[in-house]
Amino acid sequence: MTNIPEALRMAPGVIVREKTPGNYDVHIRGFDNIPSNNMLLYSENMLTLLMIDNRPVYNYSFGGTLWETLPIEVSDVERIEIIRGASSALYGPNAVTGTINIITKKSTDKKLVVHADNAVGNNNSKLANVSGSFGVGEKLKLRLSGNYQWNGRFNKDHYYYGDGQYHPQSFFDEQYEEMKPLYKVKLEEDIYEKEPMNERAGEKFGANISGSMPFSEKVNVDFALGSQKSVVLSSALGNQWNPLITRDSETHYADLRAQAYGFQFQANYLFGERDYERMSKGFYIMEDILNLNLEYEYKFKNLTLRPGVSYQETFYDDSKKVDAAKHEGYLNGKKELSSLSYFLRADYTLFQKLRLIGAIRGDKYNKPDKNYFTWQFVGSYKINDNHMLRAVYSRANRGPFMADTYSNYKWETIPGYYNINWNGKQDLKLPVMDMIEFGYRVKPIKNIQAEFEVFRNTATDYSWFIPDSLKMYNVTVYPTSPVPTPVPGGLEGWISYHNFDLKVIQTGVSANVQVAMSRNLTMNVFGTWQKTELENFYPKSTFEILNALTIDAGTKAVMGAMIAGNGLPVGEVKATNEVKTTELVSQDHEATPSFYGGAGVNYILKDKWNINTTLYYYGKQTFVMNRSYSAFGTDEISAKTLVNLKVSYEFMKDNKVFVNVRNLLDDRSNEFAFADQIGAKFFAGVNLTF
Amino acid sequence: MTKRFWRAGILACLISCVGVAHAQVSSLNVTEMSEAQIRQLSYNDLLQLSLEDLMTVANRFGMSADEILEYFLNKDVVAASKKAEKSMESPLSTTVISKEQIEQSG
Amino acid sequence: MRGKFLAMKRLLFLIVVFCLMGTSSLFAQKERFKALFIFNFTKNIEWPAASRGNQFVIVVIGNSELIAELETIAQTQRVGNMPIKVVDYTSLDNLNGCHLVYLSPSKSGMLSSLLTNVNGKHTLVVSDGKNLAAKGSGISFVQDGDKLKFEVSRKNIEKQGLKSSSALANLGIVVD
Repeated sequence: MTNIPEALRMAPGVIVREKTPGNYDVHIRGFDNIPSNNMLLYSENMLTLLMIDNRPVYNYSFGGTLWETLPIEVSDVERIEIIRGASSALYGPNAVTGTINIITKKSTDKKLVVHADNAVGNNNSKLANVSGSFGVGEKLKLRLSGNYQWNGRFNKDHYYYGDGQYHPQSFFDEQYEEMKPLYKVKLEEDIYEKEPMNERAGEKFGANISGSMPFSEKVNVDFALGSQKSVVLSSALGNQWNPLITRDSETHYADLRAQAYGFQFQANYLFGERDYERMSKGFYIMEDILNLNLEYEYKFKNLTLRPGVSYQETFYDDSKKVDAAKHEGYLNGKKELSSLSYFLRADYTLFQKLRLIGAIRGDKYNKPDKNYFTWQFVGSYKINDNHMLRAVYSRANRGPFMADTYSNYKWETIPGYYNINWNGKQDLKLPVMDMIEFGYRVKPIKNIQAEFEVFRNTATDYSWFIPDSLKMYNVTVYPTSPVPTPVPGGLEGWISYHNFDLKVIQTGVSANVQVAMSRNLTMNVFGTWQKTELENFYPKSTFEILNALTIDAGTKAVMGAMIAGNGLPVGEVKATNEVKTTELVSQDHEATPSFYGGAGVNYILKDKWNINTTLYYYGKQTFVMNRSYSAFGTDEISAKTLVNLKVSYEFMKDNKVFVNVRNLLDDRSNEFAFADQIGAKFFAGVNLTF
Repeated sequence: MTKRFWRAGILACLISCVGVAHAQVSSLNVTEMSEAQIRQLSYNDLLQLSLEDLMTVANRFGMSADEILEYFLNKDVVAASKKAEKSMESPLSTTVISKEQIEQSG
Repeated sequence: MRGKFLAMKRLLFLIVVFCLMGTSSLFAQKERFKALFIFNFTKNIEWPAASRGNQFVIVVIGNSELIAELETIAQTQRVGNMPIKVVDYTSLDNLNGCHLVYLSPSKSGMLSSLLTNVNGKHTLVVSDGKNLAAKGSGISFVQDGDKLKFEVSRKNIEKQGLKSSSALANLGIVVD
């Protein structure tokens, strides 16, 4: 696997779509594109918590995970642990559909060892990873690593919402030039200068230092420091014309973990700057995130108790690049989201067979100013060494976001004439998910381990933005025939975030069978079947509502004119949107494939050759976006089978040459709505050790 | 800006506290090695082992087919219980992707 | 649906192909350790000065995997200060001047004719199978469940004009 998100395709229950080469969308079990009929932003996965060595890596401004902004790469990974299902009680907010924890490699040897993995591929793609590990003094062990990637695109054009077609960059330049006076597009920057020939899907760079220091048998300290810089072509959050946009990121982090006498302490701090949409004003932010966590493990006979406290503080500030007085940005200043959490986990084993686990966690947020409780109750029964049954009941919640909470953006739709005020809400209820799951694990023979899980997830308290009202000022009604025409002297609209009565119900089954014939031959097959239903969904899109409000206000103006007399100004009219229960619909949700899964076989031949083939499949999906002026807001993603093959040859101990083909069948279809074609990628490279 | 550097500074200080201490020199003691450490022994290390150590290693790593299967099938997982346990025993739906899997597959 | 079936078919095909390929190489790991053991035995046996030559010659009868493993060791290691030469057995003639001969389980029937040929010629005979040390070999590998063990006959080793270390007797299953 050339990327961390791509590696997740080897686990059951994970849906991985490649947006543009090297840039991914990752969902656990689904809940994609909810709500549909809205912006592309809502197809981001906001419900999964990603951590690197237990350090949350989450985008608190709009929600979701920006995978390209991880400072580490596959060569830094010791292992990836994936928990499917609600796990907030263990890891806090956003661990709603699941948690992914990436555990990084540690230096284990005092000798200096240098590794280099380099590959070149088609579309001018390049991958380079270098690391060195060594010991300092008697105890301290350090690991330094650096990674660089340049990923090339298959198609050089972009999708345009206006006509549902792909167009070259020059087409967009003309569009932007036309729109420039109307919309706040930053055309001071030359697109061509930024994106030479429009061939680059992304470029990223990361560097890390990590170390571990055992002071004694009972005291151990680990730390990591690092930086990353990335620029990728990824899906936009709110762009009107183009679903793909350039996103920049530069962040730095420090992480400290200490274990002493049963206590575990972790502190980490991240700061940096990001520009979510290079072409649009208002998406630049500076970011500061502080996490503190303290846990203690107490054992008494068969009972293990693990109490803990946690504190998180995030600051986002966009004032550097916007005129805050004019409300040019989302936040227009420095905003804070913080939470103080306390939790307890109890784990009790009876007769070495029955295990009962209860975990509860309270998170007190500053916004919304409330306590949220999440829990997890597990019962597992070990019939014998080869059979295990378990049942889980858990609740998880998403955390608040900056944009939802604090937005106070003035969108000058037509400057000086038509403004839309975009407002967050500080007391939004946070989305909550309840999960019931049953699992069975079995080792029918010693070469096979299989697991099956059946789950039902119910999510409520979703929130998103819709238009509230529209005001027309100084309307003059002209007596045109057959209908009189109202002409406003100015317009102002209000859009804000609301909670909805939507209930999302998902039922599904996952299976995973692993087979190890020997050290030399291992394989696995896995798959997930699921069905997602929406109840009481308010399906109206932003632009549909705005159009209805315009007509409503216009009608009111005409009515007013009948009293005042045609041709005379009627002053101010206002139309308000109301969510009526009759407008709510229940429907099947089709943005998550009903089946997805994969398989892999690894074969070691004569200890020198390694032949690996992996397969990943997902079924058909439908994404529905909200567009103002076109019917091209729906993208049906067809089923896709990805077959990968890597063959490596060890010509010297720990030194290998390899060829790696991703998507061997060269199915060029796009995997993510309105995004790039993803065809076959070929790499040739070396893994060297000194 | 000053606050963020102040914070980064505090963490940097904590980290530098780690310092350099003294300890006994660890020699290659295969009986006390974990499975993972044994797996990291280089071929050259294996050649230098005494006959006794070689037997230990062979019987813990090279020869036990069951242990090899266990290594591939029933991996250790920490996330589900916040401490290491076999994936067969994990109370939650968990999957572990190992570095070997990542390296071998791409 | 069609895509799903195609995917499954391809997968089944791959599994079948790999299973067929896999069986032949299941035991490579065992051969690696046998080679390591054999190399280790040379550290625990003393050959008389008279038998030393330019090379330390190991003859392997009936196990090509083991030859490959021993050759890997021969690239970097020496016995005493002699480079190691690994020879694939062709006839009883090329046993002349060899220091160690390994006899695979499938060729155990050759043990007695082999012993007649190398008798007293400072050759360590390593066989592979149960009770073979009692039948004349110096050392014989035995598989005990998952564990690789070895039988030692100090008498047979001495009969070949070689000296064995105490470690060898302590760690092996002594048959006399």
